Amino acid sequence: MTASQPPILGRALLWLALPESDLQTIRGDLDEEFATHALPNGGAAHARSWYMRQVWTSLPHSLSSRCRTAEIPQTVLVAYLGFLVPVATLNALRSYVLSQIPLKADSLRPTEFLVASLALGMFTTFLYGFLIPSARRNVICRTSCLLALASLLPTLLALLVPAFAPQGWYPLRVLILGPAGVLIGATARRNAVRSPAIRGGKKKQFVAPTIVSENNPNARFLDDKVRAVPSTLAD
Amino acid sequence: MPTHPNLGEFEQIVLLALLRLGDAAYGMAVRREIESRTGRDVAIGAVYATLDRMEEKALVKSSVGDPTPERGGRAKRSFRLTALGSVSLKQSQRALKQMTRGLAPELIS
Repeated sequence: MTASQPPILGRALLWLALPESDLQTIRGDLDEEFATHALPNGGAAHARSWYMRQVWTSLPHSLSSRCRTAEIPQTVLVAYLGFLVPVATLNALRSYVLSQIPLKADSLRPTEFLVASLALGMFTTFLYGFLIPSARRNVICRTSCLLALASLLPTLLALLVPAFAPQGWYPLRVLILGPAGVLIGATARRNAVRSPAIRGGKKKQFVAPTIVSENNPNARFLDDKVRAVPSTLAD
Repeated sequence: MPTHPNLGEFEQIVLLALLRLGDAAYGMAVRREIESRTGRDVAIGAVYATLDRMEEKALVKSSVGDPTPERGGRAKRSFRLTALGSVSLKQSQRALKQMTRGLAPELIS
């Protein structure tokens, strides 16, 4: 990163906060204004501070737009319901099995069970992230990332102020692992479908020679190849 | 009598900026126009949120242009006023004029 480029933090915040419909246009507008007005008129420091000010003041509007377009509510619903439903089912199953065993009904949940239930919840949200259609994947990825980061705030608060820490930290783990599972699933799928030719940022293009004429270089190339073939085979 | 959407102060300012800019009206140009004329440092997010809301009400219409290198290959979204937007703006301006008529000159100028 050089001083003549917009700050990475600002770009990352925009990526997280902007609704899909405005992401390209607002980032384009800010980059253009940064390069053509802010940088030549006030220098790199002024331009970068202007960019960050624009990002911070735009965040509330962008987040409210995303709530209005149902991007955030949908992901919240899927990330947390997708996590909690299998976990609650597993809990209910365990309670039922233990209720059938004398003197075992009120036994505490062992750590292994809690870890297994968290893993199950994360697996289901991972599956959701993996199976969502490609058209929605980018939106869900960005929203899950935003949710996971937002969930880190109560965790940090609980770490700093023990009075806020919930018993067993279980709810906070659910808050983080739900969207994290979706994000990991969507990212894994995106990497799986990406072909090696596209990975370098360059799309490999193959132009099929369809018109055979003297002006078409591909046609001439084909013609040379055909001429190079022994006449016995060509016949 | 047909009813037109009521416009807030910022919506009127944005629509007037669109009128002033004509074909060159896109998000950042609108923001710059408002800043230069009113002195308000407006967030680009606020401009787009307002434009999106007014597009839902059919007061403005947007079209996406070609990507340019200085925008990092991203397309520009231009806006223009619709007939409904124009009528709503006139109605709001008329209401404001009616309310200010006859008041002390120092309030109006």
